[in-house]
Amino acid sequence: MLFKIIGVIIVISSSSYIGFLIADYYRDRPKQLKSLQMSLQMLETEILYLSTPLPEALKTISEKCDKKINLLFKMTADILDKQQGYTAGECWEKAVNKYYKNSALNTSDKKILLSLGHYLGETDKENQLKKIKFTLSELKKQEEEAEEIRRKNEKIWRYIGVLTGISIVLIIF
Amino acid sequence: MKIIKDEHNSKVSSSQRYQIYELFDTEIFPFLSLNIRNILKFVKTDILEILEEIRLRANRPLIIAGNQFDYFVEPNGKVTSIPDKGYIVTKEDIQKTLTLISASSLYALEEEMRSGYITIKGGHRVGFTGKAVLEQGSIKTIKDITSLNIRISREVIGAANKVIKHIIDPITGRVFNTLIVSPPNCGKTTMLRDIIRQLSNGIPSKGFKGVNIGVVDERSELAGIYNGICKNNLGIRTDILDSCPKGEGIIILLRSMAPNVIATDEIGKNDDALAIEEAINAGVSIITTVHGSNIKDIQERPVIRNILAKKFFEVIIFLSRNNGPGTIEQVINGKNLNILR
Repeated sequence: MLFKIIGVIIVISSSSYIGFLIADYYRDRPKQLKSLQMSLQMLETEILYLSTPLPEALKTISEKCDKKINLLFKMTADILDKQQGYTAGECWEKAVNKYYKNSALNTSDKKILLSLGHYLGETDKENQLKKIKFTLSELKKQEEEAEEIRRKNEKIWRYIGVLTGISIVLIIF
Repeated sequence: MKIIKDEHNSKVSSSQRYQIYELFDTEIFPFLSLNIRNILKFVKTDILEILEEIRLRANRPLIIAGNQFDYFVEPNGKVTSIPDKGYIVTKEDIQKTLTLISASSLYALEEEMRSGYITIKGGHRVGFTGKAVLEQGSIKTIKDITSLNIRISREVIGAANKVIKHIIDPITGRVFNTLIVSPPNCGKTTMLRDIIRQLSNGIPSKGFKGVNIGVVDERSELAGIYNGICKNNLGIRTDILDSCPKGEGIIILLRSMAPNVIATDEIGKNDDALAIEEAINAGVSIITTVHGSNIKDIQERPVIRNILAKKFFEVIIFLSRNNGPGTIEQVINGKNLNILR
């Protein structure tokens, strides 16, 4: 009997765990999109009010921003620091590609981030701000979309996880 | 065109060679686009040693130049005097170099983009030309950059040895108000830098004790300050006001640091002249420089003419590059225009 109870617990908890993992993915994407927007707003401030050079600005942001996304800024700053002849845009591109692999973002989010890179640091203040504003608005749209998907899917996947576990138990025993 | 290799081979020791290479590797190469960097890395150290300029022009061959010579650089790093063999600089090379020079932060360099030059780490100056964008009649920025000129700044200890005795009053030990006149690229800044260093440290052999010197370094060229670290040795009694407009800077120093001497580079604006007058009337000696090649040249310029008419400058030094940069053509007494040397 004891073995049966342990078995039941293992089956239900592992299938719930899988459900929660999938639900987490839906929860993380809007979250990360939101923190990306916040960090880009920081970049905007650094450029507009402080005229901080990009390498320093990126470092400051990587220290202040959400841990889930600080890798993106830290990596860009690190590659820039090495002075191997890459422009900020190229460093950003490399960092986005690396960061994307471990993030909850999808390909269209990635495309938006990459397109920011083409302009990063290469134009005057006005155009930098325009580009950042545009990226922010695009990310906002993505966030709203992701939020919608999260609302539809997050709870469902949790239920599916738990219920699948229970139904497996019922079928077996 | 003289051949440098034979002339210098015996003079440059291996440790000097290393120093020269390191200078370029840390202060110049990181700011060049990869293509250009990989070409210049293979240029012989003997040539790098006497290099003064690297010129990048879109769709034109890469040129490196020094005192009375200029070479085209082949894609393998060899130098040549045949233009067709030289590496052709592309528009991307220039754009990338500019991005690297600005640390990908062109937006932070608005003032520099207006004035046509950026000073990089080490006090080297990068000048550029392109299309000027106007806003209400004055230049807002320069875009579509087509030419870059990287001028390598070197500190030459002892550059002022020959003129220093004319600058100091032999009886009272006061420093004379001094104007250094020279065409571009004749070692004006190098000379001023060494004068500052010597006056600041004092010259024991002449019995001259050092004096407090305030330096207004508008273009960060004299001290070569970058991120708060001073690269050039300007002496032990020197206070440096970095990146400050000269007119305002002189007044600030006058009020705050009680200097005996104020030194600044390349005067020309009305504000500068007013501030200089103010300083001289306050009993502070001024040492400064101006572009020009003889007394007639500088008298043509209204601002300088006014200052000269008031006979503020007691010593005027003329430089040329007849015997290499920093050649002293003439030293005259500014009061009665007698030739001192």
